[in-house]
Amino acid sequence: MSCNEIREKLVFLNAGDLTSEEEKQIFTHLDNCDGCRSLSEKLTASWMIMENEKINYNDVVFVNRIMQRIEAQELKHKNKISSPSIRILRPVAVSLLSAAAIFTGIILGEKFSVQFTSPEDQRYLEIEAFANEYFLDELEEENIETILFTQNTE
Amino acid sequence: MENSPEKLIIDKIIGGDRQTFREITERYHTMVINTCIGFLHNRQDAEDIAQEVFIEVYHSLKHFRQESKLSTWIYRIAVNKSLNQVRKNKRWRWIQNIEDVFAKGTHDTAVGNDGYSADRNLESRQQEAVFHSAMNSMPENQRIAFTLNKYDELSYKEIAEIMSVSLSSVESLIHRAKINLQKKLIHLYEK
Ligand SMILES: [Zn+2]
Repeated sequence: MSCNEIREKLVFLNAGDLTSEEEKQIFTHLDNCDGCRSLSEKLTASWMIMENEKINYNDVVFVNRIMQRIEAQELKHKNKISSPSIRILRPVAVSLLSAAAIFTGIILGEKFSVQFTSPEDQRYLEIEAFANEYFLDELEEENIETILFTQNTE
Repeated sequence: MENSPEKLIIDKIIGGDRQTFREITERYHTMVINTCIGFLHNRQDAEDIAQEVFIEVYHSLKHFRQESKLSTWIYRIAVNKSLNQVRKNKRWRWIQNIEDVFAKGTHDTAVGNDGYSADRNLESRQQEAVFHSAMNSMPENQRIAFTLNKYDELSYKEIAEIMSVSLSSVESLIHRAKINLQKKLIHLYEK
């Protein structure tokens, strides 16, 4: 086999897709060809990255954390349902607090406006506005159906 | 499917049996984390997304129509959430990582008394960056099939069910994914 033919098969060698006869042919070539051997070593190292990334043990901490999150969410949900007065009064309280915050903000803003807009802050706000305008609208989540069910055309 | 053990399990969880949900999480969390790692290549990000997967499984179980196996459905959620995260990361994180690798590398080699290990570390980090770059540039459907096969060691039949495609499509996707991956890697080695 030529170097090109060998190189085309290296990925299948790593994946374990070849017959033992094909493997033997490739190994014989690699023993006698520095170029192909060097490439094969690099590809094998890349392949091993994938093998090493995987986990193969049970992560109890992970499971506990999920259960805690679910319990916390349910507790929050329960509290919401069990106290209707809070549910009604909350929007009122939020509005009052917002009004107070805006009012305080206006007064503070007038007093300290010079100190609070340093060039760095201004630059940061500009970058953030730019990012919001150009990127954030692309970040909407796609539905599973649109990802997995468009595969049929493949 | 009517009174299958899986249906009983699902009904229990919908009825608020958290212990049963814990058992489901224990059974599937390793595979879900591996799916997420296969797309995100970062352990912390993968665990964060895997958490979101299980939270969604818990809350959406009442909408699960049980037309597929529970594991198939969980995998779909994991793939979907991982891909959404990949898109979010694409512009920011990945560029940052590559920059970090090379910036850190010059720093290590310039400072290190322990030059040998710093160089080795740099080399393996660059190899990882190259590998992740090759994986990230794969067409999405090839990447899904390849990742489920290699990171979760799923059979072609299971992958076909998850992706709702035929068995021969999965074979072709994985075959092309391998060829593509090798091409990209060789191209990146030569850079
Ligand atoms: Zn050769």
